[in-house]
Amino acid sequence: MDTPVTDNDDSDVEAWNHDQVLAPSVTAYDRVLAGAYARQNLPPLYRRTWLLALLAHCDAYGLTPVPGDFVHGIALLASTLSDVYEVPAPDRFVLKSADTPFFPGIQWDLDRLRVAGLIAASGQDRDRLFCTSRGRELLQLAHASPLFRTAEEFLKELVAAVAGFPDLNAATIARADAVYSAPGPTGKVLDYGEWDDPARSNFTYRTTLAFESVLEGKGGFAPRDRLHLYARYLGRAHLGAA
Amino acid sequence: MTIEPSDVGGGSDPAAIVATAHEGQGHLPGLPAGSPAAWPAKVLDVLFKWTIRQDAPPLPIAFVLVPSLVGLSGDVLELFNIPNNRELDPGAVYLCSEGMGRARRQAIATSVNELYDALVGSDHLPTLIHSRVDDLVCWYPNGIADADCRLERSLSGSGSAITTSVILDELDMLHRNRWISPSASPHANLWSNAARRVPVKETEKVLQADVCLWFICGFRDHDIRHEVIGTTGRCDVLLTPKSGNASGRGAIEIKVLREFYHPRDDSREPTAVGKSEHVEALDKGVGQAWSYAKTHSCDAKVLCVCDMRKINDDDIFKAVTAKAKRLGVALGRYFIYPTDDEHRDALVSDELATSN
Repeated sequence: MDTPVTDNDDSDVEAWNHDQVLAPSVTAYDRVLAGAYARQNLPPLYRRTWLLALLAHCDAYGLTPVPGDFVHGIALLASTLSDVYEVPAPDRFVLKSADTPFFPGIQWDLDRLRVAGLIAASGQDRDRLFCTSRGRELLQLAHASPLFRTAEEFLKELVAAVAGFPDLNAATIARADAVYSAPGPTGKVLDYGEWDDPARSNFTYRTTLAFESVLEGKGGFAPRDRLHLYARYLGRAHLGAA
Repeated sequence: MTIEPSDVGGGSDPAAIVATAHEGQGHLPGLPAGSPAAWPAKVLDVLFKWTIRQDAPPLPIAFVLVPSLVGLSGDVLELFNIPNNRELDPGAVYLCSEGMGRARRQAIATSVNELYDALVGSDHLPTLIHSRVDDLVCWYPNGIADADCRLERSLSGSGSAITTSVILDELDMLHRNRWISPSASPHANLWSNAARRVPVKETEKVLQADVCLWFICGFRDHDIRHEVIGTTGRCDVLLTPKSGNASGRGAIEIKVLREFYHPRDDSREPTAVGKSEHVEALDKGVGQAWSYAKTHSCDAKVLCVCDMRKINDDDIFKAVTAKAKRLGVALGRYFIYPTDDEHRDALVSDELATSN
């Protein structure tokens, strides 16, 4: 875990503002996250397995070692695009920051996956991640789960789509993703399905549906086509947004 | 069609959506990333796109799919799927990523033996070897250590016209080379328990992958796409021309007939599949092949029936033959035997039946 730890063990953690959550530097952060984590509906292991699969497929597609911010960027795409494959995503909201997408819960899990030796880091700042052989072995065990098998099919296709466009990175995703680039102030909760109806609030998913409507009934796009189109769309839309 | 910002909402860019949808139509991957044929298809694409160094001995070229390129040695090749005036080196082992976006070229061998020695450490990894002498492709899904489980296909003499008879000929060839019996391909991954007649899980997926790969090898001027969505459903395999040299469009629907239905989770005993269910499946298959062909403007429409049952009853086919004929759907029936004994027995029975 690279997060610097201080003795600033603040008991009034509820009073933290969004920026503090986005840039955590105290041990109490872990307690806040642990509480949030325990309230999740999905089993806690699901997100870790989800992340491990994401990194393993990034490995397989030659994207690794992946910069940490890009992991969060791909994780955002994975959670917003999961509706295309109708698989449950571990995260259904993100806080808008002035920078690239960041999920505190995901960072919490990534750190623990590193400690467990399932992923490792390289690079000057040890911030580029990849899946270890032990991590890949563990994923094989996870195939026993029907839920995970469906999710993995989606995650693999998503990474294949992202890998097809080498220009994609955390910044381009932040600029062009329909959810993350939605107008709003820094710190705003971008809810794409946690409380709000995803059919209305998941703009990324709605963008993939809009590809269909462009064709006006002349055939259609399979779910996997819509993932690849969305990766292509990001490459195009970020130029317009820049 | 135009899209208004309010149609999608958020930070979406309507102009980019419209442009992407139009541009993307012809540029989408033909196979799902999870298809067993996805990676070898990408390798073939590289083989077709790149030129091969002509001043080198005609040694094979090996491509190995590695789980990760992190920490591997060798010359770094970025954007391996784009030739960019580069040449493939005969005798080289290329360690590749799934999307073929990145690769490492290992030391170049000077003989066939040296090349196979270089593969020893990765002999359990999916490997595709292109033999330059006979223009043959050998695809080892389980690595060269499991040499029996390989798909061999010549790249020379590839056709440029797709017709119903061409499709049936190709399927016959694939059947003889890989599907028919354990001896044809001992571990072709079609049976998980041959003695109990249990086909491998997701049999259709494995068979579809074989069909796709077979046609990709043979018809480089055609786009071979798998599970193509249309207004009438998903076409299993769609063959469409991608260059001016090519002609003919084909739709293939694949149906697997099995003796038993095996629950996925093994929680219950297998149940026998009834005759009426088989007829129903074939009837549906004929309709699918016809409607997909109509949707995608294909002249050639084929229902490829992979028969993995022990019982050889023609009745179920007779029930759909008339309908298939009227709709112009060709029926291809391919027996897949779990043991050589059964294969021999079937051959003897056929011989006796025709000699009577």
